[in-house]
Amino acid sequence: MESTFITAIQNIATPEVLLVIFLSAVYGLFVGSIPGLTATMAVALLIPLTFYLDNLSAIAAIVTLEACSIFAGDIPTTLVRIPGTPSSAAYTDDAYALTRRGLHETSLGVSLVFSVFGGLFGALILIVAAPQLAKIAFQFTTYEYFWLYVLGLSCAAIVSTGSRLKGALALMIGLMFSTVGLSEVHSVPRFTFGFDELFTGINFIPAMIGLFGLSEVFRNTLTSKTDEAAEKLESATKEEDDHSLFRHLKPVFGGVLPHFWKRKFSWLRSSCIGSTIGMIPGAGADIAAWISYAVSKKFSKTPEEYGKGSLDAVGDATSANNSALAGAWIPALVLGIPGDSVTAIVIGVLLMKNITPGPEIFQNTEQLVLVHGIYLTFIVANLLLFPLGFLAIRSGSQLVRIPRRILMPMILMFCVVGAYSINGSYFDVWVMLGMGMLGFVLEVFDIPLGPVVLGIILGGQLEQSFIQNLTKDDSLLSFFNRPISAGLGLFCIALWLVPVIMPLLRKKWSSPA
Amino acid sequence: MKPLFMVPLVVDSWYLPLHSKDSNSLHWQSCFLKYSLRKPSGTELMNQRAIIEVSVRYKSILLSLLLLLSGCAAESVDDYPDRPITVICPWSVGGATDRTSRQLAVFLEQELKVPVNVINATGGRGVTGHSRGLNARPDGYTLAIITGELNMLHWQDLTSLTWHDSEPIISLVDGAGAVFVKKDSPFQNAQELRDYVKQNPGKLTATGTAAGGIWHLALAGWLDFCGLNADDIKWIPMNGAGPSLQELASGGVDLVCCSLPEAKTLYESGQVRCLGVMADEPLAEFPNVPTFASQGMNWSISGWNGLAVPKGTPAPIVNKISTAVKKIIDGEITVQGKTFPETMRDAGLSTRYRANDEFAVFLESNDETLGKLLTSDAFRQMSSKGTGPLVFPGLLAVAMCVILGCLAVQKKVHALAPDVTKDTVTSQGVVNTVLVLLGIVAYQLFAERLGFVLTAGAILFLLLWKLGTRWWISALITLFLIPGIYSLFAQLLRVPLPRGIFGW
Repeated sequence: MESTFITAIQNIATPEVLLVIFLSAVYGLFVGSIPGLTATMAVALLIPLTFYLDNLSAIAAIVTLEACSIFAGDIPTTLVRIPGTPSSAAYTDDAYALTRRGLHETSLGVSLVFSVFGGLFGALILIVAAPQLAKIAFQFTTYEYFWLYVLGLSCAAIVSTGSRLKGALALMIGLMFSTVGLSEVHSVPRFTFGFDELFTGINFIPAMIGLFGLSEVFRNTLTSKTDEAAEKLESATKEEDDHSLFRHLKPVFGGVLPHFWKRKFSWLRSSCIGSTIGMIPGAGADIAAWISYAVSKKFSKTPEEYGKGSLDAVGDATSANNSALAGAWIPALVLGIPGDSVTAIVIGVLLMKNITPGPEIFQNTEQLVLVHGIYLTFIVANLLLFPLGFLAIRSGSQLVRIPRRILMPMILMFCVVGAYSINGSYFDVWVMLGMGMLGFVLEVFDIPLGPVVLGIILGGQLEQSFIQNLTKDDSLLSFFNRPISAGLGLFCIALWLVPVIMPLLRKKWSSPA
Repeated sequence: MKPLFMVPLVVDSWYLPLHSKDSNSLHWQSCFLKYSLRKPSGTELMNQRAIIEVSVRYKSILLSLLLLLSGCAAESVDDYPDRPITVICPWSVGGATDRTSRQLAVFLEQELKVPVNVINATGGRGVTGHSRGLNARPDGYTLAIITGELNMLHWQDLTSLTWHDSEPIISLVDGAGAVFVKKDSPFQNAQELRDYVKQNPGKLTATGTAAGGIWHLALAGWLDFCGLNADDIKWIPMNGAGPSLQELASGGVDLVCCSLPEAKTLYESGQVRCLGVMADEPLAEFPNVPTFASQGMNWSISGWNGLAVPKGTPAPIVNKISTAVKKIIDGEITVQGKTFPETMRDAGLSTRYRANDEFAVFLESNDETLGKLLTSDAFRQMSSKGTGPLVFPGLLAVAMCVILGCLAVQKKVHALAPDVTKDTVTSQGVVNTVLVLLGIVAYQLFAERLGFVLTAGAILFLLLWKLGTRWWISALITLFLIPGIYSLFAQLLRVPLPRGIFGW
């Protein structure tokens, strides 16, 4: 064990591997911060290169790329309200509200610090508990998945700002969109209205870009207030006459590290949620972010701030989505079952490199060195994210200084290119346009947009697991016939009943005794 | 180089890129022809003149743009390939088809000396990817990976596409179906399974792919072959082999039917047992797995994939591609000291190379076999069972009504009324928003013809200008941003941005 660990350190600490890690970190930050390009796409683009790299470098590149691009997704989320990756959708409103108050650098600083520590925690879980935890993740059947999706979706409705009912309505809208296209379970095209392109359904990346990004463009162009807001930002970000060495660090990290220390327990909680959910195959960083956001709001002393610019929310959700990344490697390495879309590619790469993921990967000394190399890369990548992320924040922050009348057409350009690039299809641009208008209308009615996105993402899987369960046994009781599914199911039902029962109880208690 | 003044001629072919099929088959020349055959109306002429004027007025900008960007659209068969090639893979990342596509892409890149990118056009049970690959412009710059589903989907009325829409190049992977059970399952071989099903029809559940997919067909066909009903084993539709095997290992289903390499990890670690492989001969990589034939059931079926190009691709280009592919499968090209067949073997994929005509013959017979199965009574009957496709949307609609009802009961209906007091909408704002909308629509209409750089540049410049930036600042931003975006996306990140008349 120790000797392989030392070999792994020696292998990593070569200039070539470190250079690969550095370059992929830069590449990851770059790709992640462009809306429309996801971490998965970045990794897929890297595959031809992995042929030319040795095993360790190839895997190290993927790990670094993943960690950096998930953080980088927070940059456009915070600055221009376009979630860079789907896992940022949970806290988009919070992060952007902070930007409007001129606190974008603080918000991104919190994102960075919590991401780094969340990622490190995930790595720790991966190192300590991989084989044991994978066994639990392997107990999940379609029943458990069904309840897990219900849980994720319920959280989205519960945490939404304003009325929960409106959150639920937004969720239903999203779920409805997810039913468009060829139903995977029935092989029947639904709601396609004769358009061949709708066969595939509505892709959530253009939908997300439209709902958040384009609707923001509309909001800005429709009102004449655009430049006023920009000026406000400018005055808020004016740098003081501070010539100390730390004047650049201050806006990003000032107050963030004490804040982190104050919230160490909520960080721990979110990271635990993140890595647990990451471990479950098929439930990735996005569900992790939603659930930890909901839990964080539940335990918060200031739940009314959530959705209107809460640093706590941003911190908790980002630590969860970053720790979920390492979690997803657990089933991938131990069982050869991908935890998310990135690890699906990783398994392909490993097989190409003649390494079969599975229990024996932990027994074969040569492969154990590689596994330890993966652990170490997770740590190195997260540590490297600190300085590089800081630079990315500083350079990205210049964006908000650009007058809105210039920024908006540029954002529009990125919306169009981003929506197009995910599949190279014009239809996705129409989807983005439609969703942009829908997003604008929903905002006018004060209906939150986050649940719509999650509904589109999870709707297909929810329906699939629902139908699969019914196919196995058409009684609804079968949804509770396994211990884990019963537990999860009862928990979900309790979650729905609490807001209904609580007011009644409160009335009873507060009535004169 | 094509003359600049032809640009506005495209204007009157009012053409929506929405229907990508047409967009690919129509070339800009055909628009020109269409134009010259028809006398333009007065307004059209005015529009064109206006655009020509614009292009004259900003000629200097356009010229400098031209200088900035190299690349020419002189597309001739001899120069092929002179720009990146796209491979459309109809299945998602990580799967066997994706792995094959990506490996092939790396080797093709080495041989053809241009970047070869893989796009996963997933969804619609393969309809999306197959139609995108085979309906692409037949210029050799879009290659299609086709899989067994191409010979199934049209029998199930999900698409009108058949293999006849393709120019088959080579078949690559040929994975025979195999049946897996969990390690603590009582079944040791396929006969025991058959005997159990005979006595207990409908008791077992199986999965592996969507309902009506290749592995469902394999299992149902086998039951039919054994004289049992095709639905004596309940099929749980799943999205691919990965989740199916996870479901098997967690005890959610009794059987999984998929190809052996897909279950390699779990099989080799002893988590699952293979009851048999639906092939005539034992597989070279897994000689210990018995075939169904050796167990007295002469049943074989396999899922395959291969490379094809859209029908109508010029013969010299097809030849160039197949020569390149021939060299690759013959092991004449190495990447990192490994040949293509070696890397495929390492990935555990069973290959069966059938070049051009042989592939076509195989496609014909495979199409016939699958068609017979899919149109047989045994298979027809079972497709109509289960929960209907509108149950889930129906439930959602009910839930939506309940929520709206609750909102009404809570007297929060007024909260649904638009809140216009927050920000004032100005008339200038409305005009600006309309401009933004027109910008997106204009991009959709012209990008495919004019290419990304011209279209996006014009739109960005006009928007910046109309939103109140001085014209030279707008021009400057456009001049830097658009080529920047183009080189970032199209060259660095290899996103296939629209290439119009000039090749960019």
